[in-house]
Amino acid sequence: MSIEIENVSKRFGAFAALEDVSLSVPSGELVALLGPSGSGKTTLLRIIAGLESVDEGKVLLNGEDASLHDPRHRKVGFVFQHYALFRHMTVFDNVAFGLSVKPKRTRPGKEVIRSKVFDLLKLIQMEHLWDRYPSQLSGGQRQRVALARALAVEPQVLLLDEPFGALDAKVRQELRRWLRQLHDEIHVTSVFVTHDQEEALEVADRIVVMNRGKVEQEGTPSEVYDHPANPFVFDFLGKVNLFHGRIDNGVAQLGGVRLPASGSSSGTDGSAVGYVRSHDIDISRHGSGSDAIAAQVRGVLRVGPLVRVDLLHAGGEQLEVDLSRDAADRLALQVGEQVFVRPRNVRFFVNDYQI
Amino acid sequence: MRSNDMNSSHYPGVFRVQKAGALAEPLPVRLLLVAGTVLFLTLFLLLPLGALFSEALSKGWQEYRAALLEPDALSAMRLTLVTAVICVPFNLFFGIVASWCTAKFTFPGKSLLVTLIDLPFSVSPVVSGLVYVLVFGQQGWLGPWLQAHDIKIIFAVPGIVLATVFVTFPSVARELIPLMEAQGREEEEAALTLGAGGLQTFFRVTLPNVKWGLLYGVILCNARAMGEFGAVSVVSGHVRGATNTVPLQVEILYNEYNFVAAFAVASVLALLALVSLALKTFTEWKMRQLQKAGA
Repeated sequence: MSIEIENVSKRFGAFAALEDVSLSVPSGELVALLGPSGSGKTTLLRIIAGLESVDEGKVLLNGEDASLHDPRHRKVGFVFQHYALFRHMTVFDNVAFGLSVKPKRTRPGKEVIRSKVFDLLKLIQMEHLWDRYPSQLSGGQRQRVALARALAVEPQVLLLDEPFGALDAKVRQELRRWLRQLHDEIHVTSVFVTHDQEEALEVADRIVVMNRGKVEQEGTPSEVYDHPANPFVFDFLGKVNLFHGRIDNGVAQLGGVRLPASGSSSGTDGSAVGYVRSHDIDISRHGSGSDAIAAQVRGVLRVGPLVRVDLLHAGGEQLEVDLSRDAADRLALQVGEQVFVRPRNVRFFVNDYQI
Repeated sequence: MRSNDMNSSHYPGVFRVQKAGALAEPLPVRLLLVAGTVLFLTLFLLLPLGALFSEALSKGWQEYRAALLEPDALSAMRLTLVTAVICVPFNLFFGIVASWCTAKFTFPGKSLLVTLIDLPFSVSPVVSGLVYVLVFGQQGWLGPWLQAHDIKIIFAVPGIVLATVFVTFPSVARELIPLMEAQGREEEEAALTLGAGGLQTFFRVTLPNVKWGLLYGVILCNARAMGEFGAVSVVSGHVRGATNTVPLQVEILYNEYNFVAAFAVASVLALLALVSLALKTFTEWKMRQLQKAGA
């Protein structure tokens, strides 16, 4: 089932949670709503589910106005951040709930419900824990039960609110991969909310980056990562270094270095900021002022497979560079040492505000 | 890495004992505190309770039995039971409805409603009784109309029931509102998205989640309903064998210097209190278990 969101706005008192948001999710896709807290992503998800009303605009499910249907008839499965399992029911009863509350005419028989619940428990690899209570399960197990419970009613749309937010890093990684596989198997249109860019990049078919109640950019993971539409998206999706400078006649001046300003977001001249990812900077001991920027090493830190180098460049700004272990070992940088940095893949954004 | 594991997860007991040891007071201080508490409890709680039963039994079992089986005493017990049987289900129903509305929904005037629910606990029961006399009494607002239709409320059983309902009104709601608020709305929302209707959600999700809190409220409500003196005293009229509840009967017997009978009837209330206490402790323990289990 496809989801269309048309010019939706929502206010909570004086706070504008969503401002004129439009979005379309094609049938069968797995979409991530990515943004910092307070960006309106959870509100948008709750509006799709019908748990929240809209002030303006429309939500269309399969081309039909969703406000015509009560949330209970929208055929939407919702997975809550804190699971919201029924605490007085066993795993089996939790998963069976959606089937057992159906009206008599459409409710399947006891045996059918039983076999269906056990099929789902098998899918989440928990059939041996069917008689446990939620309090006896780990966080990851609870979240899988919550997912099975939502899938039991065969929803047309699956909505997940920070599904892995409350889990530790290792379990989160496993569940992420598992969710991706599950989606490849059952192909139900899914939307999940996250503030973790890595999670969004790894799991989603498409990413919708949100900030302050608005959609900043929408696209495939590589589109939003490699071609961020604006400074916010660039900054939010991974670590970034800033170089302040000027653009004149399509050539950028950054601390004495001249670079063609090909990636400029606008053709106008003036003061501009160059955005460079932390892995898109080369460090060397040799160079001149015209092709590289002088910098001083402030710290070298080994973080798992990477080595993080903190630098202070001649313009007085901090830089953070990620090197592979090999590259770092070859350089053998010392704290306090003078080096030269060369940015690759610089994106320029002309300052769009005036003081 | 290894030692870290041993401290935090594999041997939680060891870790806890160390912590408790660091927090505990020295032995003499602990003994003094415990002894003080025991002395206080004996003096103010156990001694009076013992005195009550010894006085009630001072002339032997025969007299005790006779005092309890006396027709006026029996009628007082019957009236107290009738009052409780009407009052508890009534408060149960309205307590659930009131707490459900206030804990799971937002609407204008909500905090006013919560304050109003608490009102009966904050005014003196005598005042509540007087208010009923002013409304339903012969000279009261509705007095003439009630008289014209031959309905008797004040100095009759309906008045006693009304006054008791009023003073016990908050007991169930006060237990449930904080519990329901702590549990939040997520489970109800989950039930909704799974296709459950309002009533299904209420009976299958909301109510089972608060059942122990509910029982606790019912026990308190029952204890208060059976023991209420002030409000009932104002509206009852003290008609022996007709409008006397157990607490009122005790007072009458005492004022007549009939101490054995007074203490014998009072011992029924004391026994009721002990049973309520036991039940209350059990439900509290059960609720703590659930809280520990749930997260």
